[in-house]
Amino acid sequence: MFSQPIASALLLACIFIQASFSLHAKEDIYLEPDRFIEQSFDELPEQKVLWLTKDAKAEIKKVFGREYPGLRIRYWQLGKRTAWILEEIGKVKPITTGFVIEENRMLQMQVLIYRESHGWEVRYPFFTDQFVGLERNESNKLNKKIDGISGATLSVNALTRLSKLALFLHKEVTQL
Amino acid sequence: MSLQLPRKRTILAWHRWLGIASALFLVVLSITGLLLNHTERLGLNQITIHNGFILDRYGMAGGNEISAFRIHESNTIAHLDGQLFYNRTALSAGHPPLGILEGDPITVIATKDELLYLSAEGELIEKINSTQLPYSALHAVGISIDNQPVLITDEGQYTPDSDWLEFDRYQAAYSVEPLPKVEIDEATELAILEQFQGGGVTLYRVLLDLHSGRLFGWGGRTLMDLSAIAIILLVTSGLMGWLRKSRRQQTEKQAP
Repeated sequence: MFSQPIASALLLACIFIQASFSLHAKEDIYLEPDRFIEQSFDELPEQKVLWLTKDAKAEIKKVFGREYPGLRIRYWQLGKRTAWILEEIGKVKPITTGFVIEENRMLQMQVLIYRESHGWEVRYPFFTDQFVGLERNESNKLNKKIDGISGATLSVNALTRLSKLALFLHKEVTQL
Repeated sequence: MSLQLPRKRTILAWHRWLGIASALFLVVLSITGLLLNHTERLGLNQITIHNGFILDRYGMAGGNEISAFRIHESNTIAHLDGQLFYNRTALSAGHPPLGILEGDPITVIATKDELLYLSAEGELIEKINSTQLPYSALHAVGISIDNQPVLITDEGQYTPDSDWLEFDRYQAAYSVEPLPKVEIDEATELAILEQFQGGGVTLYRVLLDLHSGRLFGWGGRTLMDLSAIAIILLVTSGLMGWLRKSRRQQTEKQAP
């Protein structure tokens, strides 16, 4: 007498579980990196690479808080302005972010690709506008406090650390 | 005005079927909840699980075959379930290599949607993904007549500059040779599998995900949500049944 409803409930459970196996995290592309570079300069900039020496990697570890993967970082330069596309993991997935810097001062920070399920609010101007005019001093402190977003703490931290790194890298390539 | 309660038989039927349907999930909720409440005492964080099914649920089973390819004369690039390894060391997440192009100072591993640049020591120099490449999917890697690498893609053929920074369209002749697989010894295979699985999953994590239903994705979580709703409905229908009974008893007492 009870077998039919129980079987139905179990079948429903199996369908739910089976359907959930095929789900994948999505990737939101807000702005293609190529478009970001085009929009950041008046003319076509030169693409360059910064090779990371052992000393540079050690400095980056201090600035960024951990090692940045790879032995070279590409950037775009026109005059005193540089643009960087850097990645850092928010919680589990990397956030691709673009930075434009001139004379050690940040002109723009923009989230280009966001892959996490939470914290996507960091893409909006109410947050990214805080990075305009940002500078980093010798003791690795920023000249402005970046206000967080509740529920997006890890993404906010990741972007704050990335902006320190971008300012450091800009200084490295413009000092050469 | 008194509250009009459903008929006793209806309430009982709902109560019974809801109880039967949600019994298993409620038992799981209760047992996992009890265990989680005593995590420290039971040392749940110290117990690791290496069961194939559980590791599979966390994408850590590594059940597929390891494919390996020769690089830098005597070294290997191995691929296991979306992870690439240089010899026994994890290199990066990625698809299986379609081509390995050795050069100085950059050796390139070309996968479907990424290019990985390595140093002669196997250190990762840079990882270029599809958003930085002029194509969306790579099919194969070829060699031009003048020995230059050719990337064969959906959108046509491309050749890189000497630094692998810019890519130009290529329309001349080229040849493609398949990337030969190599055998790796059992010890390397085991080391790769161990790297892939890390230290396993803690019992605490598994119980927590079983409690919330996350162990089975959104379907499991929805079922646990439904079980929680079932508890509310069971309490409500139980109270309604009890109210109805007590009202009837009162009416019977008041009757002459």
